[in-house]
Formats: sequence, C-alpha cells, structure tokens
Amino acid sequence: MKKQQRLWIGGLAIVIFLGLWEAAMPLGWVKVADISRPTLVVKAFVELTRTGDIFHHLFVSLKEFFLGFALSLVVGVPLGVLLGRYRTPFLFLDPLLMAIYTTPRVAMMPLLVVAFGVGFGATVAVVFLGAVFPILVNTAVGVREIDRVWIRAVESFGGTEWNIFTKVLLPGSVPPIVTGIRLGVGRGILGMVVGEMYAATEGIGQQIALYGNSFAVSELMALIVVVSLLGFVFVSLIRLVEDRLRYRRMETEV
Amino acid sequence: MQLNLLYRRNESVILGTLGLVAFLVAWEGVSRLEWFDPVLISSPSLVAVALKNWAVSGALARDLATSLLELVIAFGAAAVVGVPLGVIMGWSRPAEYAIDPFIWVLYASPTVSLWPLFIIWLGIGIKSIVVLAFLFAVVQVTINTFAGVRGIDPLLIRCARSFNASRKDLFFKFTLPGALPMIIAGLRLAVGRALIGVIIGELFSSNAGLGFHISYYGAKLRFADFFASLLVVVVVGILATQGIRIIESRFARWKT
Amino acid sequence: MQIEFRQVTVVFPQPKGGSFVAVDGFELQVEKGEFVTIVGPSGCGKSTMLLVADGLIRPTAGQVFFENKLVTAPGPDRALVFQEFALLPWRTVESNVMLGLELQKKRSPTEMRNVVNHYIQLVGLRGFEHHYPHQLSGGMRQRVGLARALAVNPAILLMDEPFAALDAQTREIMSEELLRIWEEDKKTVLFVTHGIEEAVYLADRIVVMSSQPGRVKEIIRVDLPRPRGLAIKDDPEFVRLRRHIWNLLMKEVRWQVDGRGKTP
Repeated sequence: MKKQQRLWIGGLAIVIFLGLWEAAMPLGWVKVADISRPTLVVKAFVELTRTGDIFHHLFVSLKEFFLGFALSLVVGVPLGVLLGRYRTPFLFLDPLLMAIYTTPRVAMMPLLVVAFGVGFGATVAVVFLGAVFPILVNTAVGVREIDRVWIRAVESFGGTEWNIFTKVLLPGSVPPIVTGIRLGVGRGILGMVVGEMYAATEGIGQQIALYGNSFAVSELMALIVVVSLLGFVFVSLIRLVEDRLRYRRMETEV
Repeated sequence: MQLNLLYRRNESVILGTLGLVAFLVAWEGVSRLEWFDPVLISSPSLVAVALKNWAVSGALARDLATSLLELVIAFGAAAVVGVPLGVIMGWSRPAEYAIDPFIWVLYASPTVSLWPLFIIWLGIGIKSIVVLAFLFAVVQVTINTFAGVRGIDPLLIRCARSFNASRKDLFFKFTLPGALPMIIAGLRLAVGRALIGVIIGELFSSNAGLGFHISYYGAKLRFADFFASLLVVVVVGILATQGIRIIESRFARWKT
Repeated sequence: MQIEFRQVTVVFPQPKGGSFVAVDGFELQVEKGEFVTIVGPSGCGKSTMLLVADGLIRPTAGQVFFENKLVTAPGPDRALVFQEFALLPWRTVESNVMLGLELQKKRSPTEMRNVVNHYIQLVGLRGFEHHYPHQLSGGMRQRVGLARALAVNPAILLMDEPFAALDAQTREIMSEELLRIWEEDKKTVLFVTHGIEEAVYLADRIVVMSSQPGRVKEIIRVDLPRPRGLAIKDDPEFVRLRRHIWNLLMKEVRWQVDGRGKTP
C-alpha cells in the first residue's frame, strides 16, 4: 500500500515538475536557450544516440571507470583487511588517509595530469581515488566488527593467521565490502566525469564540458541524464547483490 | 610503567603524528635524492617556503577570506533549507514521497556537470560558486535530517503518546532532540561537501580564492605553491569538520 | 593422568592501569575418560581456565600439562565448544562441522565428509546438513558446535558454558543429549557451568570455585550411577550434593549481590 502511494505521489511530483519545466518558456518565464525543456532534451538524447558518437565516448569513459575501479578493489580490500585487523598500521596511516580523502579530487587534477597523463591516465587516477576510500573504510570496519568468537573458534582448532584471514575475515566482511563497493561506484562515476571535464579529449565528461561551454543546454542535460542513469543502473545491480547476501546470511547475534 | 600508561591513553595521537612525520621525512628525502623530479613532486621544505610567501604577501588572507565567505553562505543556506526540508519529509509521508525523487536525482547525478549551466544562468563569480556549493551540501543535510527524524525509536514515540503528548510536544520534546545527532552529523558531512563545491567552482572559473590559487599554480606547474594551497584547503576542511564534531559531542553525548 | 593444572595463575593487565587476578593457584588432575565439571559464580575464572587448557591463553604463572607435555598452543588433541556457538553464518551446517577438520588438513575431502556426516547424525541433525545457522534453533546450533568439536576426534572436550545461551527446557534436554553422545566414546570432558544442577548431573567430579580471585574451593566426587536419565535429579544423593554445593557457593553469590557475607 505504502509502496503504491510512494509511486503515485512521487510520480505526480515528477510530472508536475516536468510540466512546469516544459511550460516555462511558452509562459514567458525564461528563455528556452537558458533552461531548455523536457521535450528538447529528449530530442537531443535521441539525436545523440542516432549519430552513435555517444557510444564511443561512453565506451572510453567506461574503460577508464572499470580500470580505476578494479585498481581500487585490488588496493582497497587487502589494505582494508590489514588495517581492520591490526590497529597499529591503521593509526599510523589514518591522518595521511584523512588528508587525501578530504582533498577535493578536482583540486588534485593538475598533479594527476602531470603524473599520469592527460585524459586516460588522470581519469583512471581520479576514479581510483574516489572509489578506494569507501572500499577501504568499509572493509576495515567490516573486519573490525567481525565477531571475535569466530576468530577464537578458528584459533581453538589450531588455525594460523592466514587461516583466520581466509576463513573468517574475508568471508565475514563480504557484506560490508559490497556496501563499500556500492558507495565507491557513485564516487567513481563522479570522478570519471570530473576528471574528463577537466582534461580529456574524449569521454562522457569531456562531452559534457564541450556542450556546456558551447551553451548547448539540451545536449548537456541529455548527457547528464545518461550519466545519472549509468550510476543508477550500477548501484541498483550492486543493491541486488547486497540483498541476496543479506538473505543468505541473516547475520544474527549468535 | 608511567610511560606505558601515557602511551596507551594517547596511542592514536602518537602513532598518527609519527605516521605523518614519517611521511614528511620520506617526501623530503625522495625529493632531495631526486628519485623523482623535484620540480614535480616538490618537498615539504619548498611547500613551507611557498606557504610563507603566500601568507606574507597578504594574498593568503584574501584568498582565504573569499573562499570562506562562499563556504559560509553556501553552508548556511544549505542548513537553513535542508533541515526544514528534511524535517518535513520525515514528518509527513506524502511530502517524503513527493520530494524524494528530486533528492535522489540530485544525489545520483554528477552535480558538477551542471557547472556550465550555472555560468550561463548566473555568470562567472561568487553567485554560481555559492549555488554549486549549496547544491553539494543541501542534499546531505536533507538526507541526514530525514533519516534522523524518521529513525526515532518507535518505542519512545509510543511512550510519548501514552503520556498524551500533543503533536507540538511530540515534535519538540521527542522527535527533534532525538534527531539532533543525525542532523548534526549531516551538517558535519555537508560542510566538507560545501567546501569541495567552493573549490571546484573557483577552480573552473574565478580569479580569487583557494580554488583559483590551486588551478593557477597547477597550470603553471609551480607545484610547491600548488601543494601549499592544497594544504590550506585540507586544513580548512579539517577545522570546519572538527568544529562541528565538537558541537556534535556536546549535543549527542548520549548517542555513542 | 591426562591433564594436570599446576598452580595456574592468570593475571590480566587493565587498560587504565593496574591488574586483575582472574585465577590464583588453580590445581587439578584429570584422568582419562573423566567428566569433570567446573562450577562457580561469575568472574571466578572458570572460562579462563578452559582457555588456558586449550592453549589460547598463556598463564601468568604455573603450567598445564597434557599427557605430560606442556601446553603452549591449541592442538589437535583438544577441542573447544563455545557458549555463543561460534558458528560461521555463511557456512552450512555441514561446512561448519568440517571447519576443524579443514584446519587440521589431515584427511582427504571424502574422508572429511564421511566423518562430518557421522557426527551430524550422532548429534541428531541428520537432514539439516545444508541449512544455515540462522535457520536453526539455539539447541540445534549448539549441536553443530558439538559435532564440530567431536569431528576432529580430540582426546579432550573443553566445553565453555555451552548451554548458557539456551532456554531452561532446552538446556535440560541438551544435557541429557550430551551424556548420550558422550557415552559413545567416553572422551575426557572439562565442562564449565553456572548451573549447580547441571554440574552435578553431568559429572564424575565437580570442581567448585570461588571468585575474585578465582580459586579452587573444593573438589567433590559424584558417585551416582551411569547412564543417568534426567530422573536422577530426584535421587536423594543428587539432592544432597546439590545442597552442599549451593551452600559452598551461597557466600560467594551473596557477596556479589549485596556485598555481605564473604570473609576476606
């Protein structure tokens, strides 16, 4: 019942918004060139897909995204497990990690471009920096919150540190890791767009900057919709995985 | 024995500082030994010099003032808009259903990509920067406030009702105080996001402020000055966040 | 003599300074095949003694010997059953029971599966091999814990308040079940518990401990015949033993509740 209400009222709100947006120009509130209208955005979207150019850019962007994201997993998960298990390295690295986390990635762009190359390299770096922190932190917290008694159980049967790692820490922290992945995806996509906006010759972000600077408002909106949809799809897929995991495990206190 | 105890109580600060110092020493060392091009990676000593020059020239104060002004306006607006919005959403389900999709869109889309639009609508300058930072921050505040209001322990609500609390009392004596920790946590996160928004805005188009300083020296490959400005941004972020954390611990002491 | 505790003392340093004496001068000799229960009030260090016996904690002073060899680390001859069950929630019953065997790496997968199935059947969980812990009741989960410990064929079973997390009725049934399973191969058992009835019902000998610091107050022989059904709880000898232990412990418990009665 509630779910239906949510859909109806939410849908109504969206429709009213779109309606006002569409009507703003004819009613003389603003100039079309400035804010466009839903119908024009849809037209721009169709046009973009027709010429096929957008798919090329999407492909480039996704390559950068997946590489950066894969790197963040490779670095984030093992490091997260380590920092979760052993307190001392965590306390050592904490200020440094915090400093990197609080720096806006956009601000680091000049450095990243010089270090990793314009376009592809720098964008991968920005995606990495965006995704690695949620993954790292969530993994570490997940490991830290693992019930000590499971570790003790493995120890009581003569398990080594490696056994604890493979049989308790890793499987036990899979749900938080997946949550970290979900949070990382959003930041990664943002990084992908921002990185390309700043310094790239192709990719969705670059296209956004291009159309933005040319004041092509409709095309710009269309691209934003594309990126948002992309993010939405990815996050939804991961949510599905999260839900399945939660059902299978149903972590209870005992 | 005393030393051991002292260590144990302050372990995080001691190790954290050690880690930071170790990093700075390593950085200085790598730069002096020229394992990487010192022009590119700079060094703590060079950054310190650049920072001093920046401060002494008076430009630091001016840039800082510009950015802080934008930050305060954007954050203030985000709080003033976001908290009531979150409360309304939390209190009334129809309001939640109606507003939620828009919050979602703002949250999920790369707000940054709207930047060129802001330039078109508001022109280059403080207005567009403030609006961008505002958008960055307001979503966070709203979401957290909503969660705080909605997440009140139903048991407490039931208790309030059993004492025949009026709707006004229910809100002001139960819901709001209960939601306060979440709200303040949201503000803490939002200040960081607002700062990022300010920096991004200044980065892409401005002639003053910390973000401008970053992009200017970055483009000129003067990395010592570049790092100096990054440092200042990080410090501002930490101070702002810590400031709110202090408020947080005051008001949210009961919610460990 | 299979296990010997010699003047075992365990002291824990406190985070804010100072130290806490958990156990002081614990002495005990256990024969092969004996079922020994350790009973006492909270904080008397009984669980600590079990962890020391398993080699998970090193005593601050004193030693534990297993078959005349010093105990320094966990080993294949001792297995622990936990109060909180300690089952891995992402593993099935079968997989959980196999955990100990996996860690010891002594057998092939097929051998392991056979052993596992044997013990799953022994504890009465046949048909539940592919269930997950969250789908089982408390009593069933503890059976899994028991099966897991038995599967590695230890010489000694160390049980740390294994039924404390179960409701009263399940507890009684489980203790009867435990004796049934134990009768199969009569392993040596060290069983820690809060419950006096449970301690008397299960044991050949009972170690009564005092608390703060944890010390052996008295060791009592139980001469009730085996096998024992729950009905033995009405036997006069049982009642006498129970009363005796209760008197021993009453001072300890009263002291904990209102600070009266315990002479330093």
